Amino acid sequence: MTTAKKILTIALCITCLATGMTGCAKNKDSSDTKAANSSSKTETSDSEKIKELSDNLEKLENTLSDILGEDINNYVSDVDGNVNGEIHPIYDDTAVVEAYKSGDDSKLTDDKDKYILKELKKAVGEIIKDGMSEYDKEKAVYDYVFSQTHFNDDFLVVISDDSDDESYNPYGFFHDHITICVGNATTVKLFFAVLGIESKIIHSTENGEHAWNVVKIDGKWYHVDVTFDGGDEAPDYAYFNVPDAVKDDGSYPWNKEDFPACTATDDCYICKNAKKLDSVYNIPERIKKAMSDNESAIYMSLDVPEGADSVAVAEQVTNIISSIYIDDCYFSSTPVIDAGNKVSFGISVSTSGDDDSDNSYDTDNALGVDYDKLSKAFSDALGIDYEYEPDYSDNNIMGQSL
Amino acid sequence: MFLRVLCVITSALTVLTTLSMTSCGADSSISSKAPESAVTSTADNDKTAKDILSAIEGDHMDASAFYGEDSFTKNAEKLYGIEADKLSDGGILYSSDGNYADEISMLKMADGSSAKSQLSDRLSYRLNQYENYKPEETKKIQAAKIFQAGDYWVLVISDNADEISDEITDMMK
Repeated sequence: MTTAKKILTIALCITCLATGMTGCAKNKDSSDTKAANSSSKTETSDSEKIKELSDNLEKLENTLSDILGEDINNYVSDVDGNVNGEIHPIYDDTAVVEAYKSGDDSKLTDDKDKYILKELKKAVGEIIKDGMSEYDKEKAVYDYVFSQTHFNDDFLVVISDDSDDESYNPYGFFHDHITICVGNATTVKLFFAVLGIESKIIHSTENGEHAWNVVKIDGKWYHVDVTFDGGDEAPDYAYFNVPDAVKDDGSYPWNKEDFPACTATDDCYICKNAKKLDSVYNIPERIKKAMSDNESAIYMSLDVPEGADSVAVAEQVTNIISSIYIDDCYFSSTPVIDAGNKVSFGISVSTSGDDDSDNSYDTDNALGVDYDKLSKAFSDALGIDYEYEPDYSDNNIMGQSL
Repeated sequence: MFLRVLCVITSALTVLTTLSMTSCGADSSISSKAPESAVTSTADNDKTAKDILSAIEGDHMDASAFYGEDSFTKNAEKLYGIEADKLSDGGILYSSDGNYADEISMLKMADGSSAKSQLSDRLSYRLNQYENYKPEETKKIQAAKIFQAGDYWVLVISDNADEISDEITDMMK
């Protein structure tokens, strides 16, 4: 390259250098200007910024949920009592009980109380026989209340016109035969009071409203909840004389200090009527017999294996039973009663197209179940090809699908 | 020789400067966009909760109550744990038959805050109710959707929760 060309090249490069550096500066200047203008345009108050950040965070959470294919937020938050719905008053049965025991209703001024008294006397005359034990009287009352009323579905309606609603007291029971939990509990207590059976009403309102009874039978206290019986045509006795541990599942808490402790299982219906199973593999045969005999509910007990946790055994049994679906029938378990070295439970057999199995448990194999063996036991007992899989996320097993 | 070296150095610097011009340009384009992207635009939508919910056809949802109506005002605290005057708009579609848990709730807080916790509490309450009284509705409630659409927070309890949620989101655009 000649000297002139080199000089020309250098000059050209210097020119490019100068131009480039100037261009960067200009761009920087213009971006600074734009930034200044933009920031002045976008200047927001602190609270608006916080809201923006909060909104963006929530959008990010939702995006992550979409990507992961699951909700990363727990929408079903711990209920903190802000939403409680309707709370109903507890019927005061003092006047009616006094009139019943004295035989003098002249002091009753309320026409509804007079009606209640009349119907109460008639009902007691029908269901209570001489020589009945406390347990027998309790069961007679329970069966009568179960058979004579329907649940008031309006209780579950978001906004309902309840101006003439009596379903929360014994008048609604005797006159309309439509009750909610409070109506059942007050009616049951009324019966017990005139029969000399000691009882109280638990009215839980922390997580929404529910009411049931605690009753003293042969010197021991039990929970009895006719509203959550679980039965359809006939009662299942799911909560007939159960201990605290069964009702204390967090759904409807109560103040333990205000009520006697219920720790006994002697007069628990499920425990009294449970037939002992040698092993979990005998369940299919027992179910087959129930279906053949058109039994709506059957009760069984299993010994807790040595060293196993009875609570884990109870949960596993609940899952096994709740996950079965055969021939348009589904099976649900009553609460499993932990009676120390054995667990007792009931199985309700009903027809439904819905599988309402609760697959939220995550238990270990506390029973040491061989699920292949269990599948074979179902197959042999029911005469179908049946495969049971302990995959709680996909447990709608159709026996005929194989 | 000296000129040759100077030429090489200058050329190298030129190349480097050219590259830096490019990156400056790129940087400047990003920096010019950044302030704009910091502006969060929300849908400027005049539709009310009543407009949206009245256009929805949901299974079993044959009853409704909207912000400003007596039934909504009286029941807001029972339903959501807040008084109606804390809202600037809202509404609920529901079933008049207690056998069905189907519901769509839309809330717009007057102070612009999130109504997500109120709807979460509502969902927990309904789940607790139906788990014990009507367990056959539990699955539907467990699959409920809670999401934000514009300035509203929405709860959908339905067997068609996905479709309804998409429909509401589309209407709010």
